[in-house]
Amino acid sequence: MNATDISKELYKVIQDKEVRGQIHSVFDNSFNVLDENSKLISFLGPNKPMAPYSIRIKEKISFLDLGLEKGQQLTFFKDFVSIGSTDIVIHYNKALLWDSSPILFQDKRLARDSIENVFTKLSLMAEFILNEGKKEGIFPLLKTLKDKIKYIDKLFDDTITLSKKEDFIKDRFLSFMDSYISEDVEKLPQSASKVVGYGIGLTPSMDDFLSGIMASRIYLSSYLNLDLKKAYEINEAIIKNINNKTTLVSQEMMKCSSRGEVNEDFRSLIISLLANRGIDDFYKYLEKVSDFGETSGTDIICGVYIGSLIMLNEYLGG
Amino acid sequence: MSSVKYEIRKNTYYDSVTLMLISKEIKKIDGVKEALVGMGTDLNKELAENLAISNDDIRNLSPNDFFVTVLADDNVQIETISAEVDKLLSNKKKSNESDYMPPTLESALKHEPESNIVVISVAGEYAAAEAKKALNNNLHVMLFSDNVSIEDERELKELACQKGLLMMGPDCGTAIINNVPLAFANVVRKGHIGIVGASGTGTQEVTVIIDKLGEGVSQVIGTGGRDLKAEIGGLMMLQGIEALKNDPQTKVIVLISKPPAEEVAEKVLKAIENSPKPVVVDFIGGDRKLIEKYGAYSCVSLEDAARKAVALLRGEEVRDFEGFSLPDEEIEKIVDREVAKFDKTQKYLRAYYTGGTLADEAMKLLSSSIGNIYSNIPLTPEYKLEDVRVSKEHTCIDFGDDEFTRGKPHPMIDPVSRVERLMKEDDEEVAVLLMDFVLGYGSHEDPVGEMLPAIKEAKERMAKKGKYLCVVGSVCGTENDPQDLRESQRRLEEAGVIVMPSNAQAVRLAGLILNKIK
Amino acid sequence: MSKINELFNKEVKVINIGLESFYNDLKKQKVSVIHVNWRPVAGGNKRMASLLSKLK
Repeated sequence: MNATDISKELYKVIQDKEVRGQIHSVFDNSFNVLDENSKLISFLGPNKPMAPYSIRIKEKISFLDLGLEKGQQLTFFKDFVSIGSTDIVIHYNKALLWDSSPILFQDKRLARDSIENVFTKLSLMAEFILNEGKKEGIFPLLKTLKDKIKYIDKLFDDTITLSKKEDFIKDRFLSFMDSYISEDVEKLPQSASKVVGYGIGLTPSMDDFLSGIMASRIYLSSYLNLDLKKAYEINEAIIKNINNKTTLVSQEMMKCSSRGEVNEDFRSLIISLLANRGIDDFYKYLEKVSDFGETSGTDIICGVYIGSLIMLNEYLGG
Repeated sequence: MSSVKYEIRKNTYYDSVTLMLISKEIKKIDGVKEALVGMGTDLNKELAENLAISNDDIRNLSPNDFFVTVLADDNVQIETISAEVDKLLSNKKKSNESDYMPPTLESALKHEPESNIVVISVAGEYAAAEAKKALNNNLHVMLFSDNVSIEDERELKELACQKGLLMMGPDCGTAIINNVPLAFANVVRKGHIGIVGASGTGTQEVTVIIDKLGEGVSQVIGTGGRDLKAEIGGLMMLQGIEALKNDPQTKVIVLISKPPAEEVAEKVLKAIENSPKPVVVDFIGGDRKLIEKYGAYSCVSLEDAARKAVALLRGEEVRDFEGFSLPDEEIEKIVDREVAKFDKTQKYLRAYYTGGTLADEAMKLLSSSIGNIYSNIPLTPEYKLEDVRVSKEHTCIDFGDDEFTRGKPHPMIDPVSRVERLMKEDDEEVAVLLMDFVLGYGSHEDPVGEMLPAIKEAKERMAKKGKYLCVVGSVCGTENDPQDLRESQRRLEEAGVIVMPSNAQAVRLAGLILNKIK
Repeated sequence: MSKINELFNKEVKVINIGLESFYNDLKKQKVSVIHVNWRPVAGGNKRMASLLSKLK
């Protein structure tokens, strides 16, 4: 099989030395490999957005059909990877290198959109979440943030009430959000560790929400010309104590998000929110991201929405 | 009495969609009071504790273990729970994750009792039975299949009329209901023009031009190609007209069809005679005076129908559009430029179409000016091609007609038959090649891309012989169609194709060029 | 109100029987649609089918 894209970072590591790993989990459109340092390498089908530390292949097949199983050993050579005990080989020497780094305004490839336009897009985002989002994830909990964040009530759906699940986590969630809004790097590690892993899914709802919040902090800091170092510091505080509190896949995802490294559709969504691209682009990426997993997409978008409202608080007036 | 039952699968990962499905289904089981499905993260374990559905085994889970725990009546067995989980995992159809695909209409209805439309595209012989089942279950029907007998069509439509349901088809390729494109249809702006059409691509062309002009459609009802024949009597067109008359969103009504049998035309026109809403009727080349007699607006082309509908909606002047979007001087320049490139022996037209109605419109618009056109769907029988695979003099082909689609997909889905014809084309007397490119749902994902190599080759072949092949086309699509409209147009122009904004204008331009050669 | 006009006021919910591409197109547009994995009765054998229908 042949790869069309490979993460730049991953490719470099593979060129430097022979990497070994074993299969961690197998799905229809993707499978994950754990390397010797317990870092997760993902293999993606052609219809999935490119993501950090991943290899995307050209062939449209189900990985479940290939006979891939947990525990199978892989060896990554310079030009291809072979999956022991099968005769599967994936070539990546002709693949395009994908850079997962955030594309910020500092590097001049992007021009900022006006703040009025960003607000318009945020309103669209709230409407989108309300009308088309999956409300079984983080959504019901957001109601508890009423009065804490300006304009958040645009997101409220009166028909949703808190279930036992949400009641259970409500206080900790509020405590986390308080430390986040006040940028309290002392309190953040503990308050974050108390909410991480909440929700159904391989990437639980809370984790997706946190990814949205963290990635939007990086991008908004760049947009507002704020100190990026501070942004990274706050995100680091959030992920400081998350080891073993959630699934490995989710943990890796949050670590990447804390650096602003997210998959290409998620990245395009934030860029189209803040840069002066057409509104059609923005809508297109809202739809693409909302399709992730079951509630993952909506949870991420909620994170971006809340994160943006918090960062833009001063500009919201009133 | 209730107790906690649980299921653990260590180091097992299910994708989120599956987990959500399992969670939903478990909660539906009779006797289940509380359920938690997820991975053994600290938080989920705490939640289980909080909901009083935890135990030591669950407490010892790692975040990479899957668990289900429920609080249920004593009579609910854990085996039921595990069986449900297993069932959901094996039911997954690989390409569509958690989508359930039932084997019959009845089971589909059981699964989705709120369904309201059935779209049927199975082989003709079975299609009528399925349509009847649908109608008997009070569902509206869109019947894409052809090869349904005319007697069956009559029976189905009578049943539908009795029940007040839509019976769109057989041979109905296009409909847009509540702005949802069904089968072969474009993504068109929502608006106030309602359409009842007996012709697929004809309807598509009208909707696309309405969209280009900045207006939109309320409902687009298809009737199938034979609705206005004497044997059917326009049953569905009449139903559609009634519905649009009563639809508050519809402010202008457009009817599209090939010329109907005369008594059917009268019946249909009578139905709109005193309509408070303006009605535009395009009987594609049919009797204009008859239409005007009943107070409706007649048309010279599909584009004209769209323009008139828009003008009526906007309260603007309504007149025949027989010209071009570009100013006349521009058009003259194009014509002169093209004609100058031909060599003296070139004089014929090859109009190769994927949309039947567009082919028909082309012939009707051109025959009076360029003379007789041979075809597989000729205007008069003496111009039927002896061998539809061999063009002769002026030729217009509908590649969607039966002879070309037996055992093969329709050319709008896969233009291979047109590509092959173009590759074989070696008649040096051909001057103009005229084509349609239909976008929208149902169509090939890149109709232009599929034809470009053949177009380039055909031009090169002619150039090598010291001749020039003029290619004129139109793209039937909107900005919101899944194919990229602008890129499609750009790539055609880059390959030297003259892209006109509508079929009528493309046809007219071809006519001007051919006439100037003489 | 006629059933057709009622339909105009409801969300379109489709049952698709036949070409899976129509189903996929509707799914892409987030329209509520269910696809019937249709097989002719008695696997397409007409004589079987007519015998079966006599049994119903």
